[in-house]
Amino acid sequence: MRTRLVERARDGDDVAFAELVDLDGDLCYAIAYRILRDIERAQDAVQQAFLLAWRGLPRLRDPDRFSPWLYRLLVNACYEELRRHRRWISHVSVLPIDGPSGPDPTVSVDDRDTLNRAFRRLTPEHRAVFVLHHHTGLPLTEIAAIVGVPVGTVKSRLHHATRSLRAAIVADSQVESTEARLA
Amino acid sequence: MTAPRDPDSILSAWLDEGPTRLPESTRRAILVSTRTSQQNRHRIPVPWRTSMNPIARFAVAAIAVVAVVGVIGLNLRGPGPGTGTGVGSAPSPTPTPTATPPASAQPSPRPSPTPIGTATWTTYVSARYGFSIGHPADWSVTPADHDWTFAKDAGDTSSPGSYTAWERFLSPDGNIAVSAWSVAVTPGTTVTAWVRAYCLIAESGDPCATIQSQAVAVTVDGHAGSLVPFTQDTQAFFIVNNRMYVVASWRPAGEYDSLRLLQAYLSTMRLLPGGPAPTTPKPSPS
Repeated sequence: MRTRLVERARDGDDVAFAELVDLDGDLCYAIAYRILRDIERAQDAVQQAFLLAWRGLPRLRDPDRFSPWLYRLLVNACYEELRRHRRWISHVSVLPIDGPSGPDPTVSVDDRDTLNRAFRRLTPEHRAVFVLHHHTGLPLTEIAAIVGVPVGTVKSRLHHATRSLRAAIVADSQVESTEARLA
Repeated sequence: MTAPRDPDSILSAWLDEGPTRLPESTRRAILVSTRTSQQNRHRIPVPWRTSMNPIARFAVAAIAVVAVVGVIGLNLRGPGPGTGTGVGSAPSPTPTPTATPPASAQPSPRPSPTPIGTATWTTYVSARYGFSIGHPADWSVTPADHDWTFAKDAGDTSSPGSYTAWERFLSPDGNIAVSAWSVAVTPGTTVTAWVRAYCLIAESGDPCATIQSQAVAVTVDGHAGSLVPFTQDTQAFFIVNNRMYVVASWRPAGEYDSLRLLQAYLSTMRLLPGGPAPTTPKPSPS
């Protein structure tokens, strides 16, 4: 079914391509938002990725590889968004409330701020690997193919990103605990 | 007493927050853009992976070297017994194996002195900014829709506005983008001063203090300028007739052959005799 849609889209059928947008759009958007932490940029990145996918589809030899190929275009679009907007002076983001994925009570406002700051310090490459693995659940080999680096590099980036974010939470907790003792 | 907090569960919950559904407006925008955009059908099919990992790159280079050495060896030995006319043929010119990927292709750790060929490039004329510049024929072009201004576009962090102020060229695989624009500057402004102000808008402190030491002299259409390798991108700057011209490759110099690519773009750049179309904004920074 999906393969047939890709083949039709590859032959120039924009209705089939629209169905692919329906099938993959939500996940692409979720990935882009989590890498970029910005709604507008995520929308731009998704749009750019799908446009490049449409243009480049005739060159995709294996229709079964559509999804990883699309993710690669998406990750590259996110990289470009981040590099283009490397001028993060003080970016205030509003957390979107979107059904079940709105703010989780497990995450305090302080946690959120801490994690947002720590995440912004990660390079685009570290962010992408972290999101693709922890949010999308893709295997490391697949992530390696998407981001175009060896599996060992993916492991290393994942380890670094996870450690940095964990460390930020732990450090924040220690500050809170010290403040509570002093109060 | 407070229960100990599990960093992983907090991390996981934080990552799950956020939108999960593509907004209808974006979906519609995608469909409109695909309907108005041609597919690239005239090219030979290529694998979807355009960048090789270092091991694969090394393997391909090694195979190429072995193949070339083999060909040279066979040529030097001349024709085998009973296979030719008996006249020893001189070794024919053999292409030297070079790591010269196409402009949009594999990353290279450092730029090669071999310039990228621009003979087959297409010329784009920017009346808005007063120059013409070449680009690979299969790159997509997005013209600027408003004049770049220092105040609005140099430090725009919250909207994609600055994006549309550039004449923008994007590789077919979307891996690398080059953009070019120009802006009027106050008479007497130097490239160094302007670039420093431009840098300070982007990132404060140290990176901008040392920027001059990283700059490389460059000549564009006979005009001297500076090529600056920033952390995340590579940009060239030169001033002619109180106008700053900027060409940027949005990759670090060592990635995707960004530096060589930028130099190739610069080699094709020509200033229009009449300058830009007469909508010149206010000079800045003052």
